[in-house]
Amino acid sequence: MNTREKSAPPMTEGSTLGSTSELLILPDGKILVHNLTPAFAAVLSGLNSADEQIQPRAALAGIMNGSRL
Amino acid sequence: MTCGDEEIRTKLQLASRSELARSRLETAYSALGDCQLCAHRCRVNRLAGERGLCHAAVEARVFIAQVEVSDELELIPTFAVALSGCDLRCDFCITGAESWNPRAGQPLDPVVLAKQARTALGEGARTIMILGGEPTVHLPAVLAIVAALPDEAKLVWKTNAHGSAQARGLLDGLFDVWLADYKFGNDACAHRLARVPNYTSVVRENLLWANDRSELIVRHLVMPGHVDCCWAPVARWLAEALSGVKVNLRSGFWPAWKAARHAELSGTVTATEADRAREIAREHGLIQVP
Repeated sequence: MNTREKSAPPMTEGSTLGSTSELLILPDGKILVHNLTPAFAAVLSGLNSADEQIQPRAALAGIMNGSRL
Repeated sequence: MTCGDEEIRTKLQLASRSELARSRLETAYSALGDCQLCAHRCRVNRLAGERGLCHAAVEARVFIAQVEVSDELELIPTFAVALSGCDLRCDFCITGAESWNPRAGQPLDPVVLAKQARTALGEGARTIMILGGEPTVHLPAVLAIVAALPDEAKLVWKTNAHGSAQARGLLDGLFDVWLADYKFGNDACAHRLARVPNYTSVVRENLLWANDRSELIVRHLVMPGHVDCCWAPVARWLAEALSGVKVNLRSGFWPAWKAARHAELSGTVTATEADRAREIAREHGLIQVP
């Protein structure tokens, strides 16, 4: 059992689990991402505005208003 | 208002999604006493503290509740709710720590989650996605969440498609989209990599059912060394049995969790393999969605 689960409080109205994205950067510079949040999509889009995978996701992420990205 | 009007209104109210979910809650909780929610059909009494192959108790826990944009373009932004625990044991699981451990994350509060989902919808999220781990093992909690969500929200059921007929019955009519994995093209790979027997027949049964009842998107994660043994048979069956279904072929495999147990899974998918996988999809005329 890890310490995170031991200390995890129950969900309450004000609580959040925090945003989580995971990425793997390959030796050739390719980036694989899991659980991509809008904020992280914006970051990756800024790094490579020509990337065909991330651009439509970043654009769709842009429709979120006022989210805690 | 006439009696007839009242009768129609009553029927409509009973047919609302939240009502439907609420009406099934008791049955779903009772089902934990002889758990057959997934196709393993362990028949343990989770209400009495027994644990099946998924190790899940009665309590459901959540390890992700956030807006994401990594799923299919037609579904994002989605408010993703990931429940801990899973009935499969995929050694390459990208969320292995949470999927193999139903005690990970925080205790789930459906009312709090529903409020967060409403906020996300108000801010622009297009869908609400329930996933895992595998949410099937926590169907009572899922029904409680759906009962608390607005009826007009577009709901996505992200599943490993290893549920039982009992689970399908409890889910019928609740989700707009089934986003289902078809991971392995044969039972030998399924047993070796995920310790699951009879995988092919179970998944196919679930996919056929889901295609009849809702919109269906089938996902396949291309695995290194498994294009011909896994993707090719999956593609062939999809073309034959589910012609016209949307398919998302994903090539972003990475060697997560316990993938190193298998030599071929110790790296990523090569460009040659990704190209070959796409070629197979084209050969079978599959409708691919990004």
